Amino acid sequence: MNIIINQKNHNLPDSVSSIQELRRHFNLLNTNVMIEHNGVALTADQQSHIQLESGDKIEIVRFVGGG
Amino acid sequence: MLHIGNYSFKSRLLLGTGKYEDGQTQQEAVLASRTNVLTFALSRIDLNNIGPDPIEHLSREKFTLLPNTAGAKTADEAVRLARLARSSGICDMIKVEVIGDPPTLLPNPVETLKATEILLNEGFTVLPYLSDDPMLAKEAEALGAHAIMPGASPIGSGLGIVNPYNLHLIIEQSKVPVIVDAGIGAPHDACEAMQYGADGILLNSAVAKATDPIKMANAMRLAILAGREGYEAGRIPKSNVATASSPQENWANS
Repeated sequence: MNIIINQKNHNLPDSVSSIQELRRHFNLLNTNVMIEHNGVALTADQQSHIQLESGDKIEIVRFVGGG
Repeated sequence: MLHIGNYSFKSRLLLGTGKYEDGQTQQEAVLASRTNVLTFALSRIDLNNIGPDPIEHLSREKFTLLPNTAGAKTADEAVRLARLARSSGICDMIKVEVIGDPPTLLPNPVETLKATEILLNEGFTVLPYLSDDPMLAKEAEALGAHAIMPGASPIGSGLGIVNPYNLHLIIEQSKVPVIVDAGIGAPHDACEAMQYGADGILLNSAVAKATDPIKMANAMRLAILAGREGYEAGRIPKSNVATASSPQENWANS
């Protein structure tokens, strides 16, 4: 499945069919990240429900130092 | 106490978390500042190099996070970043920062106000970073902004308060807290703004880039306390003529 993550194309195995599995795939289950799916920011609860489709646009961000 | 929306903070210093040489120095500076509010930016994660989580060791009981929308050039981008920040479930406060002018990093007032309005409608606690323009501050307050954050001078410049007249006007007219954000260079800048009656100071570079950030964090804490005490104590009016403090008896030989 082809997913655009942080503006880059990623060809993911078909087993990665949900946001939760996407996090597992990239080893992001134990770090604070925020995820936007096709322009919509997802709460933790929403993350466990969303199914991925080919062509989906994902942004994965985190808090970093800033003023 | 500093009250912003539904939040109350003991410290009137809001501290940025960028530009520190290393994590240890930052941690010690944060402790020395005794701040209750730490600002953060949002950044795309590098999937090839995840690295440590910058907020993993942060005590959420001790510190409230104030994410900013740095990087946004339009209201829409700022709103997107704010929604992402809130989706963390950690905090619903947002510092709206829409930079319009790269060489000065001055905020774009039109886009900032647009984003402020949208985010207020969505229930955020909104702190817009603005130029030191009293009319802009008035507009932001009329929209319902929970605090006004005028810059003392451009971000990271350390120039201090370049327009004391405007800053005075903003402080006098505002019914919501005024937090002077950006441009503070030395403790006397922070003290001066607090003496005018500002409700708080947000700074980053002045501490992070100081020769001794930990000492400077403490110096800023003391300066802000002194300025606030001075404001509450009520300074004497300025006068163009001297008023003697000692008896002026005539000791000339008679």
